[in-house]
Formats: sequence, structure tokens, C-alpha cells
Amino acid sequence: MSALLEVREVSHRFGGLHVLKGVSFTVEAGSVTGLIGPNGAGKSTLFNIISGFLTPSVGRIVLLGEDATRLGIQHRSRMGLQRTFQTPQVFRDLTVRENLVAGCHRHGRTGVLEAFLGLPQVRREMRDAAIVADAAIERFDLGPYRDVPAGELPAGRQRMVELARAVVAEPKLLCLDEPSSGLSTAEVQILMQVLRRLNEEGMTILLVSHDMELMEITSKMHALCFGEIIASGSLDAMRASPRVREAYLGT
Amino acid sequence: MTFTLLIQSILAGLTNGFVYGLIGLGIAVAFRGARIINAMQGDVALIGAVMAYSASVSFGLPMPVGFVIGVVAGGLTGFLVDRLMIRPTLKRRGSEDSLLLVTLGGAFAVSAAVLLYFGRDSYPIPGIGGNDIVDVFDASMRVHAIWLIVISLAVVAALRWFYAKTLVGQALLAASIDPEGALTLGINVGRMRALTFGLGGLVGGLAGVLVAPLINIQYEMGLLLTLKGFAAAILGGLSSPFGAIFGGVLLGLVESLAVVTISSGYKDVVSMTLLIAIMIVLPQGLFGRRGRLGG
Repeated sequence: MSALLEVREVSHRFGGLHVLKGVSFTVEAGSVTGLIGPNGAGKSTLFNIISGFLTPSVGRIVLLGEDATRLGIQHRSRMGLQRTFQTPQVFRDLTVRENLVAGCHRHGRTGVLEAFLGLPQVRREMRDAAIVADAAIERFDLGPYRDVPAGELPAGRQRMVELARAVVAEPKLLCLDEPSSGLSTAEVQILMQVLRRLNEEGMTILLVSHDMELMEITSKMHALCFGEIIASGSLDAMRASPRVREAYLGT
Repeated sequence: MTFTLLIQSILAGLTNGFVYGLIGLGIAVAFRGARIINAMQGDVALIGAVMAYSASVSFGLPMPVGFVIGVVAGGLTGFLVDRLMIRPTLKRRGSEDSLLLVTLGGAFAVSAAVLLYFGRDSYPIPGIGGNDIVDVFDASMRVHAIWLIVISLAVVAALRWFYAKTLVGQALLAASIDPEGALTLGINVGRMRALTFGLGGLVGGLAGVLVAPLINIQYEMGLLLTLKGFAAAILGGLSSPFGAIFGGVLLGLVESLAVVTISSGYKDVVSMTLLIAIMIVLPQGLFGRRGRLGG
């Protein structure tokens, strides 16, 4: 099984509006897969269905070979799926470091009782989480903001915090929703470097965006338009495809 | 006003202040972990006190056992409040107001139940160290009151450690700030809320057994305690354990100084005026943003 995620014949309706019409594609292990499409193509709906925020009207989501269509958000996260949001969602009142420590929750083994008894493994676990958090702060260049409440950071930095928080959870599949929106050109370059490096280290990434520039890091892309996949292939193939050009540029 | 009278009123204010602070602590815990104001906190204390009384006085168990039963009963009550009242309300997409009203209704129900089974009488519980008294500059203070202060401070320290130094504590804070984001990190938000209410209940039960020897158990005490505890928690920023105790002590001292300098009839007028003034001038509480966060 090399497909980490399979989207099978997914359709979704809001009332009488068919937002998705039989969408199928796979995300292969180790790939950076892109999903592009103009506004209103159904990208966010599809993304929410993949991450468990929505249950599709029809179709199935297979995650790591297991039918995840009806599994909750938390369950999918525990299976190894992490997502970010179009508008960065950080824990605003917690510091950057605390945000990242919370991100390590998936690996926590001690429960409430142990915490109250103050057992040594509770302390050890916290120390390990702090080490992971500090390493991520280094890596994502968040050093100056370490002890600042995340809600006070500029949007670009919040996005980095959100990404770092998803990464410390060590996902098998990292799903990013419009990760470049609100970033400056320089910040987008840094983001692309970071994502490339994560992929080189073996992380599988699903990138949902309308930003063609960002798609340079993908190995395979799918173009979504009016709820249907109209083309699949490499970035160059996409650029050459008349259907994609039409959907994007209206020519 | 003599020096002794001043000392005596300060001691009384300190004692009352820690009582308010302990109730406020439970309210702060619930607000911090679930962003819900639990108007039942004083009645959770009432339940703790009643259970401790029943166990030790009615059933003749040793006092420390009654003490533990009271605290555990409080924790259990908190857990049940979440299961039977908060969770169904949230499931039906109840607003913050409906949650407040639901807990307020629960408070009246507890009060009525205690009236039904215990009647209108008030019941005394022996305190830690019995009725022993220590002298402080000719003024006197119950040994039990000193224990109340020491235990309160220990609980605050333990809570601070729990929130800041354990993964569960951090997950709990994360879940209260952004439930959706917490879910995506694999945090069980429902369990965190149950934990929060269980924790608040434990603190409430503890407050009940510690307060009962000082004020006698009576079916109406719950709402009065909630009101003062709420004021204490608000002064401290509503979600800070340390702030709630600090707010409680401030409230207690202001009240008791008002009693000796103005008149005992103005006790509540003065403390509630202070509360209103703080809410207008410093809506985030005395410790500002960081205090609201509970640092």
C-alpha cells in the first residue's frame, strides 16, 4: 500500500448545491501532492472532508488503508493526519513554545492521574516535549518569539507557528490549506524551503492552494474546477493544459 | 479603633478572604478549562460539606475520612455536572447564557435538596485542631483558619504546576482556547472538559469541608458563597488560580475593614461596590491579560 490517502468518488452537497461531484485521487507516500483550483472550486470543502470536519454526502476517504470516512477529527489526528487552516489557527493566549508543547500531545502517554501524582514520567514527558518544541523553534526561526503569546505575532509568523505545531506532532500526512496566503514573497520562499526539506525527510504533504508558484515543490498535481478534477499531472503538464488555463485565466 | 481591633478585623478578613478565594478558585478552574461560568460552585461546596458532616457526625466515621469523602463528593458532583448538564446543553448548541442558566438552575436544585433532607437548621462541623485558638497580638485566630490558608496556598501551587508543567495541563489550556485546533492535534476536547469540571468539583468539595467549620452548614449557603467566590475570581481575572485567591483575600480584607470603620450593615455594599468598580476600570481583572490567562 503506497497510497497514504485515497479519496474515492467523493461528492458533497450543501442543500441543492453540488460542491463536489465524484472526486477521486490519491496521495502517494513520500510525495508532495498539490490540489489547485480557482475560488469556489470546492477545495476547502474537500479539505474539510479529508481532515474530518465534514462527512461527505457520497464517497469514501481511505487513510493509511483504513476507511476513515466517518472517523472524527481527533481520531484522524491520532492516526497521523495533521492539517493547518486557511486563516492560521494558533492557541492565541499561549506562548509560541506552549503552542508547540501542546502539539506534542499526540505522543503523550501519561494520563490525568499520573499528572496529579506528579510521577517522574510526567516530568520526563514534559521535558521531552520541551526539547522537541525548542528544536522546532530553532528550525522554524521563531527564536525571538519563543515566549510571546502566539496571538500577538504577525500573520506570517502565526502561520509558521501553526506549521511548526503540526510538524512536532510528527504526522504521516501533512495537509496544508492555502499556506501561502497572507505571506510576503520572501516568506513564501522560506515556506517552500521548509516544506521541501520536510519532504526530503520523508514527510508526505498535501498542498491545497490556488497559488501556482507554490506548486513548484509538488511532484503531482490535481486541478479542481466546479467540484470536478479536470486535470492531473506535473506542474508543466498543468501549465500546458488548455482546460486548466481556461479555468484559471478564462482564456 | 484600637490596635487589637484592627488586628482582629484583619485576621477575620484574611480568613473570609481565603474562603471566598477557595470558591473563586473552583470558578476559575472551570472558566479556564472550559470558558464556562459555573454558578453551582458554592453548591458543590455545600455538597462537600454535607457529605463530610453525614460521614463524620451522622455515621461516626473519623473526621479525616469524612473530610476525604466530602472532597471526593465534590469532584464527583463536578464530573456529573459536566455529564448531565453541560454536555447535553452543548450538544444542543446552547449559548454561554444558557450554560450559565443551567448551572444556576442546578444550584437551586442542590439548595432545595439540602433543605428537603436536612431542613433549615445549620450544622456545625469540628475543624482541624478542634476549636483551638492562637493569639496574634492579643487578637485571636482559629487553628482551623490557619490550616485553611495553608491548604489553599498549596492547592494554588499544585494547580499552577499542573497547568504549566504537564502535557495534560497544556492540552487542557489549548482545548479551552481553540477546541477545533485542539481536536486537530488529537486532543480529546470532551475529556478535557470533563476533567476541568471534575477538578473544579474537587476544589469545590475541598472548599466546602474547609469552610463548614467556620460558618456552619446551611442549605442557603451555596448561592451566597458562589456570589462572593465569583467576585473573587473576577477580581483575579476569572481564570487565574492565584488571582482568585488574591481577589478573595482583597475582598475579605475590604469587607472586614468596612465592618470596623463604617458599619457591619455595609459589608456587602462595600465589597460589591469594589467589584463593580474593578469591572468598569479593569475588565480583565487586577492582573490584566496575563492574569486572565492565569500565569
